[in-house]
Amino acid sequence: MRPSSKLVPALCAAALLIGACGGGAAGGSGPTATDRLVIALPAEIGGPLNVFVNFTEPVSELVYDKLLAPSPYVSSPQPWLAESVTMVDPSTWDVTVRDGVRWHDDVPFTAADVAFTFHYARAAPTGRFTHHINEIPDVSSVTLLDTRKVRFTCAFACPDLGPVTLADLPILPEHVWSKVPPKEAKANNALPVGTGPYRLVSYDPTAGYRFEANPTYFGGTPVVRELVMPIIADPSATFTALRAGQIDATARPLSPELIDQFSASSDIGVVQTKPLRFPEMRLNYRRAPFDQPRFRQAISLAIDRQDLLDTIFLGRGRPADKGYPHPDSPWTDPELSTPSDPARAATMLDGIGFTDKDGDGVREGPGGPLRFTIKAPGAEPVQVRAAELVAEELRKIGIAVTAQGLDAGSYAALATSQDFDLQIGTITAHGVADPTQFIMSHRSGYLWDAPEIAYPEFDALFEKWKATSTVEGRRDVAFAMQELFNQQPTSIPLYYPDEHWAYRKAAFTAWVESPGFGIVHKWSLLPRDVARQARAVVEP
Amino acid sequence: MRARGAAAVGLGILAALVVVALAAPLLAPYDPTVRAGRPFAAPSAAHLLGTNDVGHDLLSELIYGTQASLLVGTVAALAATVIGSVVGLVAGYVRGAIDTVLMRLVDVVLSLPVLPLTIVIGVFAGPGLVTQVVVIATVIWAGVARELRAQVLSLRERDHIQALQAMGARAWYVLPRHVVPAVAPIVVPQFVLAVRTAILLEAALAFLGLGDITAKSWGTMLSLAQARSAFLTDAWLWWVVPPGLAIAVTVLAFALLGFAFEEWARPALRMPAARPARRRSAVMAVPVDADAPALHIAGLTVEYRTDRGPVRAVESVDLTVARGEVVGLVGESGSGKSTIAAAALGLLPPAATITAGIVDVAGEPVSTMSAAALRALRGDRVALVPQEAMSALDPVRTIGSQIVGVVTAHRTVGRAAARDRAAELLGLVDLDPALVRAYPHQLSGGMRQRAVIAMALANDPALLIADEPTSGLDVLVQGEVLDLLDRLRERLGLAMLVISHDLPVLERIADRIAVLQAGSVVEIGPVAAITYAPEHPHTRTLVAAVPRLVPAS
Amino acid sequence: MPSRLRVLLPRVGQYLLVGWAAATLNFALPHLAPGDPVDYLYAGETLGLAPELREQIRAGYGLDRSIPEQYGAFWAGLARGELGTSVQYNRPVVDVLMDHLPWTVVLVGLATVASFVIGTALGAWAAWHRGTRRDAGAVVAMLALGSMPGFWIGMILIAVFAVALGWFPSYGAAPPDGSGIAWLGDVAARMALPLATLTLAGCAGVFMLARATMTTVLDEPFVRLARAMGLPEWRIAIGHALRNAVLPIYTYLTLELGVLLSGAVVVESVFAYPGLGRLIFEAVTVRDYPLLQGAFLLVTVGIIAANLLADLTYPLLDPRVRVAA
Repeated sequence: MRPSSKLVPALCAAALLIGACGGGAAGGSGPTATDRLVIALPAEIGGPLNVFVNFTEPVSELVYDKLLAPSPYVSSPQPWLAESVTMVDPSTWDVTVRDGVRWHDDVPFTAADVAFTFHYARAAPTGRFTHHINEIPDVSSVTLLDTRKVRFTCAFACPDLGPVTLADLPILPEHVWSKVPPKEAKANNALPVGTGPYRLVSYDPTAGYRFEANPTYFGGTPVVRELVMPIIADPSATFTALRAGQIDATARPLSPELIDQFSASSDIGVVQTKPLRFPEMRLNYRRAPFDQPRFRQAISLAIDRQDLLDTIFLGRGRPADKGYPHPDSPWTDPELSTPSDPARAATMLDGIGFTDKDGDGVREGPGGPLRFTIKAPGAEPVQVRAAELVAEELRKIGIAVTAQGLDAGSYAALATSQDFDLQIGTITAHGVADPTQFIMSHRSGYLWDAPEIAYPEFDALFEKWKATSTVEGRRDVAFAMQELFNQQPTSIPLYYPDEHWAYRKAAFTAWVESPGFGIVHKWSLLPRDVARQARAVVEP
Repeated sequence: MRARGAAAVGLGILAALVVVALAAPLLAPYDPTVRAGRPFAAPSAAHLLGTNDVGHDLLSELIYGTQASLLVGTVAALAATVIGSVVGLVAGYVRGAIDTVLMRLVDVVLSLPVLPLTIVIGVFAGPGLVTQVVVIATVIWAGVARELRAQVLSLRERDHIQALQAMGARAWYVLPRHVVPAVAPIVVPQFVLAVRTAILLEAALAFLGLGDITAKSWGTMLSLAQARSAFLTDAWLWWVVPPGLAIAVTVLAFALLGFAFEEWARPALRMPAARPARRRSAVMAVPVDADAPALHIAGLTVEYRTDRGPVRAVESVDLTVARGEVVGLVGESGSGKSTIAAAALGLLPPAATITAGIVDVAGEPVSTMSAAALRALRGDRVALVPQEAMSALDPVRTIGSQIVGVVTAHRTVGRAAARDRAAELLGLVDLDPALVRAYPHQLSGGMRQRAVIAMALANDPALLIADEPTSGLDVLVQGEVLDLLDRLRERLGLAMLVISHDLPVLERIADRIAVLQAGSVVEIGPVAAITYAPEHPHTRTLVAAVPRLVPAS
Repeated sequence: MPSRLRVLLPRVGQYLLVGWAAATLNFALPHLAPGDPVDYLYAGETLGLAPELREQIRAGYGLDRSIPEQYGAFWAGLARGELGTSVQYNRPVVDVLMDHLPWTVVLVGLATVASFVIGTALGAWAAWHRGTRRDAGAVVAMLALGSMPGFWIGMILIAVFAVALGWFPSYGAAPPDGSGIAWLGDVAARMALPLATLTLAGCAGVFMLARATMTTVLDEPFVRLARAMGLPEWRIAIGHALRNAVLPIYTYLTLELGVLLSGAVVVESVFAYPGLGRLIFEAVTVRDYPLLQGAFLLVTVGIIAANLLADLTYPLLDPRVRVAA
């Protein structure tokens, strides 16, 4: 990838600096290589790592590699399975794949696998990767130039194909997946064959996963020979097991109420990372009065962000006054500002005609009194509490909101039914740190999709974005879009949490942060210089 | 455990809980929906139980939780009990097709899973206490219905209900006037059980996250405590233990009430276990005196401890049964016959004491022997032939095994030898020896009585005490049994004490008859004398009361 | 034989009818709740699933058909011996069920046996000493134990034995690898605390029942006769009294067994134990219809089987109900 401005290295430095403040690595005495680690997974991840069923990156990437590493969440991913990635012109990219890489079953890896993967992902029924190929960017063809070279051609300018798509899509073996019809991709339950540092050697639905190191990994021999990953869904059970020494680490961040105790423990180490995710409150922009930009702005002003952070997350993080998406992402405008100002919110509401005429403490509008419900997943107490707190704050400015906890199925149904006024949820790195995702979300309904409501400012910016052909140019347009969005947001971040990860010092101490992935990922398990070479980790 | 004590404690706890629930706004130091302190604060003067994950005062939550838990528990239980009782009553009484349909419905409801039911009802009723009540009531009513139906079925067979039905009384007449009052004592413990189940179920549903997470109930407190890692910190002491204890105490109150009610409703349970009182003295067994009479009672006085003071059941009774003699003991109910028999067996209940006199069986002083020695004596030197042999035989064991049990309790013989002896004994009482493998319910009344006699004879006792040996038997069968006893007496030289309220029975079999009235022997003499020339007025009354067949002219 | 059949057949027929009704209701209930498994699976894709794609995925799971059609398909599949594919696990429902069923059966089975033994022994002992302080103490202790929520007991056991003392693991049923004796040992260690929880929670009810029935039996004439015949106390207690008192307890437990298959969900949640209860719970929240239908069918069959087992084996214990040979 040809760096073509000073902005990119500056942003890289900034990213590294920000990471430095948090000290994203473990340390101290303890093994930096070991034979076996037991790491608990927090949730069911859909079986033997079929990427079309579920792609939990940290785990799937133990087995698979991408053309560029580590992810789209850094500003300049490095070639990994690719030897070099070049933008020929804004709509064309050439990729030369690395030589001498073999799949886990010893078949050589070639560029044909890359071409095959893209074609297959396009044909297979999945949500995770399809839009990356069919929408933004719109890859119109993938052609094999020779055994080591592939050419990508886009329908419109795709300067972000390299840093985004090629750093996001795992490469699959053609000799395995060509035998599986794309329509049945999800049904394939065979153990995966990848190029990654670990092989999945056994999977049991009730007992979990077992990986063995791939000693001939092209990136270097992993420092841990065997990984055992049981699934423990309950946070309390997870940390009990950690404290009791039955597991060595967990892919679940430490609950804020445990941080003090675990940090003080001499057996347990704690790493702080800056995750690229946060809890958010979504407004149903299709419903009155949330379809009015100034109403949305008033709500954004009314939230007491510091109080939310201090109460719900015990102050472990930063208040969400830098808007959406995540301020630590290199693709987010650093000038964004979403302050808390309840007085101004009240004045604004008066100004647009929502006043409390009958003195009962609740404002009325043309559609009647402002009474809403805020829905949260009942099984996530932190989010329910957030809902309760937001309700409290909105009540102070005369909007009566009731918090409601829904069971998981009913909550999930809201995505299709869109039957909510306000909704609490979480957005992941993929959603907020992926530069094209912000725009995608305006077309998919998540942040916006209401053809019946005029939004000319955004439409104009989108056309401008499509016309721009450089990464920096696109970034500038994206910043303008973000400015526009945060002035009348449909999604309000509640706080930017810091994440803390706990591990047993006696088992392994070489844990290190990779942006967006916490500490449990392949870069902690590879020799440190390899990880640095890939610029995959953040170190103090 | 006294029922009254249990009830008192239960009611006390319940009353306290109701007070707390009603006076919650006054008792709670803070409004539990207001963030009164820092999150996760430890107990302090301002917050006696600390605060929860957002800063609500835990003590206030605990106090207000009483409202939710009691409300959900009692309302759901009430609804379930009412519905279940009605269904059970109707099904049990009306029977037929309605019964089958209702019971199959109950089966279906009982097999419904609680979780999807909760979710579906929650969707329609919204997450809240109403949903909890509806779900819990739906789950519980079916069990109540089944229980009630079983009770009503047995009630139906009672004589007065059958008489009413024979007279043509309709169901809607009989049900409220006769069945319902009889069933009420069963409904109460069902309600209590339902409340217990309801409260525990509410806690479980809240814990699973299916409750109303914004409601202030103990179950929700526990659910949040567990979700916010209270177990991994010291917080479990003030966040987990109090609501758990509160649930346990509430349920315990109802459990105590239910227990007290059951103890009160079953008179058999009121008396302490009828085990013989243990006596410490290890008196050596006196060698058997072959010349001693089979039974020798002199000046026996037995007093019972009752709530109204000591009662004399037996007063200065003298009675002797010589070897090979049959003495009959006759008297009305309450005259002390059973007490004398029990004394002869050394089986007086703990509430009874021998205040005077002696009881010797085959020369052994039963009244002063140790428990171990008495046990050796019973079934060996003295044996009991009880009344109503159907109940006197263990229904789940064969006749043979029960006789074998008696044999091996007193003789060291192999099982095979004991089994042979059992077959031999059955032959002795004119029963087919193959019946050793039969169960009591397979025999007729007369055959059972014979089997019991065979059991009594197992170890060649010196004295046979027959307590109402012919009650419940047909007249002809009575005669057979009495003839059998007679033959056995002659063949084996048995001494027998036959107790009966039925004078003709004794006339047939006894040599001498003793007449008991209010604990004293008022007359004793040969059969002929008693029957034809009674002296004592009570004897005369008894004799005259016996219906004799007299020719019509 | 024919007379036996005549008694048995209507019973079996009624059970089948009940089973069918229950299966139908179990099928209908989750469909009444909003949302479907595709929603849940792709909830993480808040970035939005294109409607055509969503329909495609739903069709792949057969969710695009109407509910009556799905109902028919369910029975048709059942007739062929197929239960469909779990949406959540992406594996055949039969496989998912068979992964979890043995754990539940072992845990619940052992807990039932343990409750039975402990509850009956203690209850009989309390009945034997009825009226004394020992009895009172036992009753109070058992009532208190039975009043505690099961999950609370479990959590306290974890806090004491797993965290503070470290004697037992606190999660899972089996280690991810290992075999032979070491594996069995690990499985046993992991089962210890959930088993203890279920047993403690269950034996209170058995105790009260055993105490009540034993008390009734101890007043029966045949017990008095056995005493009158000089049988030793222990022989009377166990050979005669207990032998009779066991009958209602046995009925109670065999009926409870069917329900326990899915009822151990709270204990399974606390201990992260991969049993049927937890499986059903998660399947309900996720609306994994194929898995739910299969699981409910399994539970219904289990309950019916338990009832039938109770009916058929009871005569072994009680000769009074045996059909004349």
